[in-house]
Amino acid sequence: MSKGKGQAGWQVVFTTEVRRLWLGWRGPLLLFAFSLFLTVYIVLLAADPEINVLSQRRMIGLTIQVTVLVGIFAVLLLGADSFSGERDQRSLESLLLTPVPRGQLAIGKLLAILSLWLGMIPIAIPYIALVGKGTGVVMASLLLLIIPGTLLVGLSAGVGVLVSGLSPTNVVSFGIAFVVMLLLAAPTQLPGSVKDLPGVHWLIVANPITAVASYQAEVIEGGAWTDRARLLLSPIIALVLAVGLGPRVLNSRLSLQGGVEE
Amino acid sequence: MVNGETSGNHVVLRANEIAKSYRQLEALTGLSFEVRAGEIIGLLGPNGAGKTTAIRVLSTILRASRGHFTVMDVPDSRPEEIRALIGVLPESNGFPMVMSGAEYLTYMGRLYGQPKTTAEAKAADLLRLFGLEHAARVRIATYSRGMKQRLATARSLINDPKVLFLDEPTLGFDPKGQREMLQAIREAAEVNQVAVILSSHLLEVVEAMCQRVLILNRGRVVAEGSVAEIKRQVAVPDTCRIQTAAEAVPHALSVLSSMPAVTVERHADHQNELIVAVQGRLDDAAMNAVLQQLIQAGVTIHAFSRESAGLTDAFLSMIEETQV
Repeated sequence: MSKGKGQAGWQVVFTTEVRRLWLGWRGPLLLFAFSLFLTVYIVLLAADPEINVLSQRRMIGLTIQVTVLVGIFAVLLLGADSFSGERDQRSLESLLLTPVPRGQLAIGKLLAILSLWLGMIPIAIPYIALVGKGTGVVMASLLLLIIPGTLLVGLSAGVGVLVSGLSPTNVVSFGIAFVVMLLLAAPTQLPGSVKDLPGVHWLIVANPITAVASYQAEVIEGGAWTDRARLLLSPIIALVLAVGLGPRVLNSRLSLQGGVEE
Repeated sequence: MVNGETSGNHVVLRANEIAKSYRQLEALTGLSFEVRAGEIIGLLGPNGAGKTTAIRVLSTILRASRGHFTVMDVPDSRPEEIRALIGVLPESNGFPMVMSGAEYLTYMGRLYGQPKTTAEAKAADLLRLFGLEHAARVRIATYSRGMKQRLATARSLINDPKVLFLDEPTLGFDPKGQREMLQAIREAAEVNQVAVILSSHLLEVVEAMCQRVLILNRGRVVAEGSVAEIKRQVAVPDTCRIQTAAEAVPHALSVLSSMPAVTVERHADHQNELIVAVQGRLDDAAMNAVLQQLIQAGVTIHAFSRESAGLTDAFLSMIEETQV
């Protein structure tokens, strides 16, 4: 290795991947699609108060939930492509041939992917401010978007990168990552009557996505921030597992062939 | 550099009984060899012989199922340290297509721990060396196949490696590019004392470049040594071509067929040409005896040429032997 101080491997990967994301088409295109989606969504939700039967606070809650869900699937898309995409275009081998520990490659890519979420938050702010106008919970809503939302988005990116690192092809990676996150996200659409069934409460608490959705809804409806903070336990644990253990797993398991035995 | 000059150089790569298997398939078995600084060693074998597997194991991309190796005395249990010491041109090359050549090489240099300015300067040098300076700021997506192969070769040298693995390095090059590429490899070996392990299907390239050759077949080393030693191992006969008048050919054939240890056949395309082989070596004495016999029998010789058996003949003969 050459003398002199270069950056750590993960920093080099991070800065390069951020440039590729934002100077290429993917970052700007995803942000454009996101802002278009939010515009249509808000128009449908709030433009005609006469046909809208939801309370304003409920609308804010839904807006936050939708924003986080879009964030989850947008970073999942990038995460699931991170290593298997390089595998498919045969550029992974040269990356694996560098002396950078494979866990650091994963960290660099993961952090670069999360920059997309950082771009999505400012776009969501005016929409949430518009929907929450006059309710007095806009500030709280933004915090609910940023803090618990980031837990879920980080989890999703971590799952995407991990699955991508272990998958032999991009198709397999996208398939597995989306099935996992869809299974986690699906219960947010359960009707209220089902949520009251015995045992379902614990499923909601254990599932990071439903736990965060419940927490956000309760705080927006006037609950104290600390009252149901235990709902944030499962997303925090899941985030630590995906982001903390993922790179460790990839450090020893990231390989040229992915899932194929080597 | 010629054979023997490397004997005083230190060993930079030492492989000991390397094996690699995928479930039931034994892709590589008992690979043992050493390479010294500045030496160019050829890795030969038919498709599926285990050449690429050998390179991937020795470059730490794959884990060996059995056996060990060291690079500059760094054991294979420390793969990241080994990767800092080696350069690899893989058989198939992919690139992040949105990057330019300069950006890509700089990125790779920085992944080897180089400061940004050092990596940029090194990238510029390599782009110049491989004739890509005009395309330095152009997206790789627009590069031709040959340009991509040059870029991949430049990448393999970005960290000033001590050991260079080249898997089919001339793939995608036109004859001029191929010659320049081989010259660059020779220079790296001679000037920078880089040990080169070269895998190629072009046997004439290996014959011209390598001091030693390892022939693999079905995952096993079937021959090892200098090109001359390998040719001796399989006793591939040298031949000579003799041209005479077409009407004299039957007479010449009968004269030569009476000579013990001589086999002769008529050239398939040139009916006035005979191809003569002698059992054992076609040395000067044997050759003179053949010519003398023909002249004494009144055969007029229009032209004569001697052809040494090449590595290709030895390789094919060896592969056929091991497949029996």
